[in-house]
Amino acid sequence: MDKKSRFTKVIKENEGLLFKVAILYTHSIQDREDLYQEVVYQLWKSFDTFNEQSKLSTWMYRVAMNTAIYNLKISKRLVNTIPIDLETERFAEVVDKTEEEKIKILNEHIQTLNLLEKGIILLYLEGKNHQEIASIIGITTSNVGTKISRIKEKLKSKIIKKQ
Amino acid sequence: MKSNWDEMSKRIEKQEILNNHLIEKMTHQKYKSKLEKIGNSEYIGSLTCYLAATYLIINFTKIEEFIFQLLCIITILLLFTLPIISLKSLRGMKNISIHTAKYSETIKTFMHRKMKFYKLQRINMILAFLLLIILLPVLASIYGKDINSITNFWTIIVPVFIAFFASFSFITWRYYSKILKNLEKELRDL
Repeated sequence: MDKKSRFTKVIKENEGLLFKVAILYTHSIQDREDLYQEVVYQLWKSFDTFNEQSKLSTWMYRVAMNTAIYNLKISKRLVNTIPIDLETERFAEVVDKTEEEKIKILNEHIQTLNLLEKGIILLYLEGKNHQEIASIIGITTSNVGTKISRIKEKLKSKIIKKQ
Repeated sequence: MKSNWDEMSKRIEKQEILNNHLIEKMTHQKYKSKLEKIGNSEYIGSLTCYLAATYLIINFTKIEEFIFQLLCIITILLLFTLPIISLKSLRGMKNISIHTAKYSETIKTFMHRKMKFYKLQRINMILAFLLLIILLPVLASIYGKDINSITNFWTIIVPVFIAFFASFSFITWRYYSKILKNLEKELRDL
């Protein structure tokens, strides 16, 4: 399998991961599309340097989340990107308004967290264990636990306050 | 919280947003990375400054009085300095390693550089104010006009102009300071 085919396979298998990062770090559909493509582009650029020994998802999260931080400073759309359909509404295949509303509220509150908290909670929700989170984020494993508890409390109080 | 997230993940996994063709297009040379393109406005601004400086250099001999010649030199120096400050701060923002850095390192670098950027922006703002004040008599001198003969120039036009720019600068300064304070707080939390 050549490089391009391998890369395409990896991206297709992990497109959900990229989409979720794009949702959490942007506020509009346009920005989401731009970030999504930027991440794919950055992954492609570093695909050669990807060390097979390290976990694929660790590498992907790292590149995607770092790219998302980079992307924050750009407020205007400066390049022509390829139109892709990243509207969250399209995922509401089964129309369950209550579920939909809960997801929306959760996303809204995660958006208000600072960058570090956002990164940690994303990985936690994605089912990563403390060690993996520590390795991607670059903090100690014990610190991960403390931070997760604090973020959960923070989100809980925010959600209760809104209700 | 986790069940809501899992619900969203399930829906996302079910969909196929990308096809081979789209992925290939994204990796193609035609798609220029946004990160490599940032700063177009800064480059245009710099070019404008250098063109203005060239204009002043060409017309320098038309200025007769020493004081206006001195102001013209200061203006030229400012026109050269402003773009350097702007481009320097921009370059600083672009040099972060996306592929190898750990997330917390990227945040730290990003925050530090952002702080530097805003500090430089504040300096830029003061220099731009200075530039606007001294550019007027310099241009009047090049065109052979006596600014003293303009009605209400010193009594109304200049004070209104200064008052307007001073309040604008004050608001902008406070805005930048607030951003810097928040950034410092976030850095402390890391």
